[in-house]
Amino acid sequence: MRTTQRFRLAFSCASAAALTYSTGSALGVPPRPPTKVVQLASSVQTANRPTVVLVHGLDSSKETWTGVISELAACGYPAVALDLRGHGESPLGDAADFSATALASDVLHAVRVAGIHKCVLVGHSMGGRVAMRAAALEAEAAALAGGSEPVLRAVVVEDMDVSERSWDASLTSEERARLAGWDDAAGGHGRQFATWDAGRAALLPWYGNDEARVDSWRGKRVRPLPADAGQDDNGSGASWWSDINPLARRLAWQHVLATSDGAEAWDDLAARAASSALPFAVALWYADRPGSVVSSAALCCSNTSPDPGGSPRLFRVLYRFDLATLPNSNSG
Amino acid sequence: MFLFFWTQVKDGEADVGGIPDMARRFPQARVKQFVGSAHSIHNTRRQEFISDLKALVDEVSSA
Repeated sequence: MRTTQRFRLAFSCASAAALTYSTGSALGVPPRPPTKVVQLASSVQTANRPTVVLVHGLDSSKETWTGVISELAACGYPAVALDLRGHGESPLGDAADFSATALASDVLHAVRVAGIHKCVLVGHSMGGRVAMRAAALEAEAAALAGGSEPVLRAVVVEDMDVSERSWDASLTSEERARLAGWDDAAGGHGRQFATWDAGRAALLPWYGNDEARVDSWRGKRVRPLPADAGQDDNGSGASWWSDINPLARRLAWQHVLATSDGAEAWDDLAARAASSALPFAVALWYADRPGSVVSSAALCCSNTSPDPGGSPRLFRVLYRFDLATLPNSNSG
Repeated sequence: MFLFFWTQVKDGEADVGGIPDMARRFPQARVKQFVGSAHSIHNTRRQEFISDLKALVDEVSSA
């Protein structure tokens, strides 16, 4: 089962679940002789519209975009959602390589491998930081290529700012050992568990032992894997897969959210735009209800188009505590 | 239940890295507030989100 998971291409589209690539030899079937192949059209791209490429945030996966993809597809807008490394069904890779640049490079590579020639990239929350870095990389690549048309045609950052989050590096040796178990490349349990209870027990310590929160993921972000013999309707007898990975969460916090990378990428894009050298549009869409980035990091800009040179704010929120969710409020 | 601590912003004080600061630093960026939306705009303001996204796709398609 795990082997199948690892070979699964980590994107989804409206009409199909994740595709599985396998070779003839792996299935015991003789490989076909080499022949000229034709680039096939697919539901992930059309000739006349860029594909919408959707990137999730912290503690999430491509599944968060299922409804959006369905609605876009119904209107004839192709879209795919990706699992960032270490999230959903994508492998973590080498934990030492985890960075905003690595995540952004993964996204750009996945876009090209999928045969997408032009796209609008949307990054939610922490994925917004990844989108900013991907945009900066793509702008640089286009400049080095002498102004060739970039794959990105627009970038949308959904409810993410560029302030550096605080970071607590301390871990006990016991915590470090438990966290290492989530590294699928290091021989631990990774994200697969024999039972729901085992997965639940592994998740709880990393989410403040908030049972209601972890239980809300059952059947969604933590789900039984299909096709296990003896599985009943409740998933009993199946092995379970967790899209959520506390190790990836910690790495994303340390190497993406608690860094200046977002600010550097944003300023890079701004500098290119100022000299009319940015070959795509950049949009920043933000929310205003409690729980959004704005309410925890900066306020009170109520204008839809803030005066860039002015000072529309009178006050800002210095601290915001959600008494119902502390200490696990999610601003990533 | 939410508990807020507010502080007054003085002239010239930088709210470094926040949304208004991002808008100031990158005036060409298209900044939009989704009124009444929670953090996952794509879930809490789905129709507006998709409408805006489709408009953006259409715009860059014809560019």
